[in-house]
Amino acid sequence: MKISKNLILSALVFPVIALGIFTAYKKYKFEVGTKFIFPISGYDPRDLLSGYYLIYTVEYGATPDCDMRSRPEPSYYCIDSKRFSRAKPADCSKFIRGRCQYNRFLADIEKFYIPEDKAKELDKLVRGKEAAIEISVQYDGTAQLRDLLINGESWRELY
Amino acid sequence: MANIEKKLIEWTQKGLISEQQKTDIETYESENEGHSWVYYGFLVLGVSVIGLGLISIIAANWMYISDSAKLFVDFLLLGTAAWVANYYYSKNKRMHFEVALTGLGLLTLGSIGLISQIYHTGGELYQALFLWSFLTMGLFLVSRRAAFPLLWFSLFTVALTNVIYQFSKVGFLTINDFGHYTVIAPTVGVLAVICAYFKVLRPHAISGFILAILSMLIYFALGEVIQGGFAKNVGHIKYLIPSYTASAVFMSLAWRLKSIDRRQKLSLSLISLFYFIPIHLGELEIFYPVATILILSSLAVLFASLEYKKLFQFFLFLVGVRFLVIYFQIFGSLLETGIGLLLTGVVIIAFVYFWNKFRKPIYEWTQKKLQGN
Repeated sequence: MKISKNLILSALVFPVIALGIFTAYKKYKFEVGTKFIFPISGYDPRDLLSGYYLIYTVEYGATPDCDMRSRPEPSYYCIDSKRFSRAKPADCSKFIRGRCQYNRFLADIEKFYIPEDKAKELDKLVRGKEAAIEISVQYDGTAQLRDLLINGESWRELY
Repeated sequence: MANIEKKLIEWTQKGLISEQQKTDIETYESENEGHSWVYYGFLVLGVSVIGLGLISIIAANWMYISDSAKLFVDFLLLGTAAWVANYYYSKNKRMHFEVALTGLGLLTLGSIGLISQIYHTGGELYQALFLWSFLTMGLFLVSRRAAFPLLWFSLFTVALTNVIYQFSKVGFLTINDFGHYTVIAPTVGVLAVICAYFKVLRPHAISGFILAILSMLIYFALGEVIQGGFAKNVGHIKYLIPSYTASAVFMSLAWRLKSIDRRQKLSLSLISLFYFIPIHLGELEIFYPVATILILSSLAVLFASLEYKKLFQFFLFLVGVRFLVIYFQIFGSLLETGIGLLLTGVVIIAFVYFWNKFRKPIYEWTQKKLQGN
């Protein structure tokens, strides 16, 4: 069966364009939104696709409203009142939308990719509880990770 | 050198055909790429090694290159791969089109890794593989050779089975109890039958059912490749029983195949037993990759001897993947591994290219020398 040239071209161009849109969307989320800083604690595993990363627990300053089950439905954290809730908070101007996984609140900001040659050093600093993350929060509560802070400064400033 | 070329030289030297007839046959054969599947197999292996090298370099996350420069180079490579594939398609060079298409597929995977790294997307590996499967589905559908569809199919299966693993239970046994293996084997098998049914994998002289059993065996080898630690648990009776059962079913089916001779049946049976060698030999970890490479290489050779092109290419590809995993295990550093893989891929492609280009003059030159003596 002969495949039309237009179909071939579409198949070849689709991943390039889609990845371009995906990158632009991530860049938009990175730049737009209100910035917040949260302290973290954690360690460094690696994956074969994107390399080393720090995985940590974000310290929200409150106990999540989660039990020992994984729940696909969204859960919320109000930044103003520092309170977790299962329903979207009505009286909260800035909130983070996440989900409960076992007894943890996850908002897809718990993984920060780092260079291979700095992994051990950054891991030590994060374990020493001197670390925080800077995030950008959109109006709908989705959070985007922006930077890893060590003693209040971007980790890049150390090198 | 293909047999036809040796024969042509011999026939011309014996005066059975003229020089013009020899040239006409060569021209016809070169336009019909059906004979060059071994060449294609090695080209795809080279491109795959380069693609994985690039992924490894990306994963090293070199901080001295700015994020925007990384993204620029990445999209430049993606665009170039798409353009090269389209160029070869328009020139009707199908084999080169397929190699470029495989390169584009691997680059797409690397790009997902890079974007995840730069923007710290919090997803899991199986989610990245799902996204990749979606983005490259078009490539899978327009591909007319085995390599890319098999790669796509394998990664899609890994993503799918991870979802099953995470979100389901089987009767009174949780999947955790059995590990990934009991889930992935039948899943791969069922998907292989579906693919064979719809001729996505193109018809071989092998039935979909045998392909399903075969994919179970591949899966056991893959388990070792991916986890490197499958063998640590495999000695347990609950893993050994399904493994031996799969081998027994596989062997009995192999002996029923009419299209292969006795020696080939015996080889197939022995291959299925290779997997059990390390389990009964002892603690040395080196036995496991050796057994896997033995299984995969033997299957590649066997399928080449049976002239099952796509299965030969698939197993050759898996041999390459296992070697890459050894690379990771030896070097450890992602940057060094990436550069090592990149250079290895370039050497494979250069070797295959020069061999393909100069094999005939070398053969003719040695023939003349031999006749001179």
